[in-house]
Amino acid sequence: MQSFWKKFLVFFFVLALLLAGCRETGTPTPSTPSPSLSPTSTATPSPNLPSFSAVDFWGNTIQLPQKPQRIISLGPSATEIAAALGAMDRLVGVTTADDYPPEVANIEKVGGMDNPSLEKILSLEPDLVLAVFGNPMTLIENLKAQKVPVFGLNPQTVEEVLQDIGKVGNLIGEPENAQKITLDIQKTIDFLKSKRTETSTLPKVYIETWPQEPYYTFGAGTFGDDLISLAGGENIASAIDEPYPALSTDYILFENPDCIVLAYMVQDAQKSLESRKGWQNINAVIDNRILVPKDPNVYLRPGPRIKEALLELAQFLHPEWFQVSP
Amino acid sequence: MSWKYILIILVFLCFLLWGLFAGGAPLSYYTVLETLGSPFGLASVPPVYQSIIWEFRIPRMFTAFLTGSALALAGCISQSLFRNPLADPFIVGTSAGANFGVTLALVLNIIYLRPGLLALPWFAFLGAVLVTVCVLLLGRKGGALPVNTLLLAGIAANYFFVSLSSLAATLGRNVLHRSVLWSLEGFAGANWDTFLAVLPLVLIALLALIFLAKPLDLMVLGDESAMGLGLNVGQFKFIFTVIIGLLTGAAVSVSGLIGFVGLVVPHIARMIVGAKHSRLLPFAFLTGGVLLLGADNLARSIIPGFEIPVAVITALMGVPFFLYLLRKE
Repeated sequence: MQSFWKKFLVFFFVLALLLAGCRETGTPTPSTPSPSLSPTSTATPSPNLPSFSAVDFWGNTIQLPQKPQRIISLGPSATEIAAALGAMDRLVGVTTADDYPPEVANIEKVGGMDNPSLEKILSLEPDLVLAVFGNPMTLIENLKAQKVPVFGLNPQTVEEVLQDIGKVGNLIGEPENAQKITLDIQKTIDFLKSKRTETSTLPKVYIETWPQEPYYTFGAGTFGDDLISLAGGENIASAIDEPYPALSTDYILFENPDCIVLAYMVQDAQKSLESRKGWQNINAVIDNRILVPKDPNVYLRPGPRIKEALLELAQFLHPEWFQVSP
Repeated sequence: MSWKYILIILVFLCFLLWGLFAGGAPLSYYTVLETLGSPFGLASVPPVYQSIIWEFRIPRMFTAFLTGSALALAGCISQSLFRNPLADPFIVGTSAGANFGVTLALVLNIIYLRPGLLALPWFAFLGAVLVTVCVLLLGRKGGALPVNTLLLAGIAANYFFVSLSSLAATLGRNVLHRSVLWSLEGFAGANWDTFLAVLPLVLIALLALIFLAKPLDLMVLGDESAMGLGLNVGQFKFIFTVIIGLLTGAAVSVSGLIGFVGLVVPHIARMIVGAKHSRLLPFAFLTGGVLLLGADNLARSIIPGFEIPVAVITALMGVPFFLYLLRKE
C-alpha cells in the first residue's frame, strides 16, 4: 500500500512538473518519449545520504557500517549491476540463473532465484544481500531476522534502473562508478533523443519474451516499454496496464507490428514465425523485420546492459540515425 | 503392539538426526555437533552456525513433522467421515478452501502485519471449514450424505475455490507479487514463528480427538447404524468438519498444497495397527509426521544448496501407492 501511494504521489508530482513545463514553453517537445525520463533526475542518488546507505524498493533505509566485502546477489540483474560497479571480487554468492559476466561461473551458487537456500546464504556470512523481484518473501524475512542487511531491487522503468544503479553504487561504496555508468547510459538516451525529429516514423514494435502461446511481452510502465520508445518505436502493448501481459495471437495480429524482437534463443526466426498460423500476414514477417538479439538477456534484465539493448534496437529500427553524415 | 510404536519413534529419531546433518549449508558432522553443544557452553561456534541449526534447521524439521501429522490425521478423519478410502482433504476440496483463505489473507495484506503470521493458519482454517460445510450441504441428498454425491460436490468445490484463489491472486497481484511462489515454497521459509503459528490449531485438534475416537468408529458404520447406536450424526459431522478444517488449515498455511500424505498415511497406519481409531489416530499422527519429515529432508539434501519442492517428493512417493489403491478397489 505504501509503495502504491508513493508511486501515486511521484506520478502526480511528475505530472504537475510536466504541466508546469508545458505552460512555460507553450508546446511540449515532441522528442520526449516519456516525461519521467528527464536527464536531470537520473544518476545521482539522494545527495544527503551518507556512504554505504540507500533506500530500497520496500522503502527501508539500509545503512552499512563499512564498505561491504561479502555480497550475495539473488538475481542476474542485481549481479550485473554489482559487477558493472566493479564489485565482482566482492560477490561471494549468486543464483543458478546468473550467467553474466562470464566470471560468475566461478562464484558459489546459493540456489535458484525462486528457491535460494537460506542455510547456504547464511553460511557464506554475507554483509549485504541484494534481493530482486521473484525471491521468496519468507527468505527475505528470515534473513532480516538474522540481521543480514537485505537491499531489495525492483526497478520498473529505465529511470528506476538508473536510480537503482546509483543506489547500489552508494551502498557498496562505488558512487563514482555508478555515476559513470548512469551518465554513460544517459548519454545514449540523449543521443537517441537528439536524433529523433517530429518527422521520425515510429514503427510498431513487439518484443516477444516467451515463444509459445500465450506470448509474453512488456506492458505499460516497464523498462521494456521504455526501451522501445527511447529507441524510436511504439510498443504494441503500451496500452496494457500490466507489467508482463500475456498476449493472444488475435491481439498481435490486430496490432500488426512492423518489427518483432525475439528476446530468447531461436534458430531460424523468420521460419518459426511464418509457421505460426496467421502470422504470415503480419507486416514484420512480410518484410522480414525480425530482430534476434545478440544476447536476449539485455532486453530482459533491468541492469546496466540496457544500454546495449537501446543501441541494438535503435540501430535496427532507425539505421539512418547511425549513419555518419557526409 | 508397543514395538510398532518403538519402531516408528526410532525412525523418527533417525530422521531427526539425518535432518540435523542435511541441508544447504555445508556444515561438517563435527561442526553440527559443536553447534548443538554450544548453547550449553560445550563448544564455541560462529553465531551464524547457531542460527542455521537452532533457528532454522531444527524448527523446520518440527514444522515438517507437525504438518505431516496434521495432514495424516485430516486424511484419517476424512476417510472415516466420508466412508471412502480415497477421501482426503484434497479430494474433498478442504485444501482448496484453506488455500483460498490464505490467498485472501495475503491479498488483504494481513501477513505483513507482525501478528499476521499467527493469523494466517486461522484464515486457512476458515476457508477450509467454509468449503467443507459447502460440500456437506451440496452433497446432501434427502437427509443422507451418499459418498458419490459428496465426492462430486468436493470436485466441484475444488475447481470453484482454486479458480477463486487464482482470481483473487490475479486481482491482488500488486500485493501478491511480494509473496509470489508462496505455495511452492514447502518448508524453506520455516522458523520457530511458523511452528508456533500452526501449533495451536494442531493441539486443539489433538485434544478434541482424544475424546472423539469412539464416535469416529461409529461414523464408519454409516449414518443409520451410527444413529441407531445413539450418535447425533449431524452434530458430529459438523465437529469433525471443524477438526479437518483446523488440521488442513494448519498444514496448508505453512507449506502450501502438499498432496498424498493425507491419502496414503491413513492406509499405511491402518495396515499396521488396524482400523480402530483409538490406535489408528496416534499411529497415523506419528507416521504422517515421520513421512513428511523424511520427504523434506530429501527435498533439501538431494542437491545440497538447492530446494526441491517437497510436494514433488510426496507426489512421487504417493502416486504409485494411490494407483495401487485404485487397482485394489
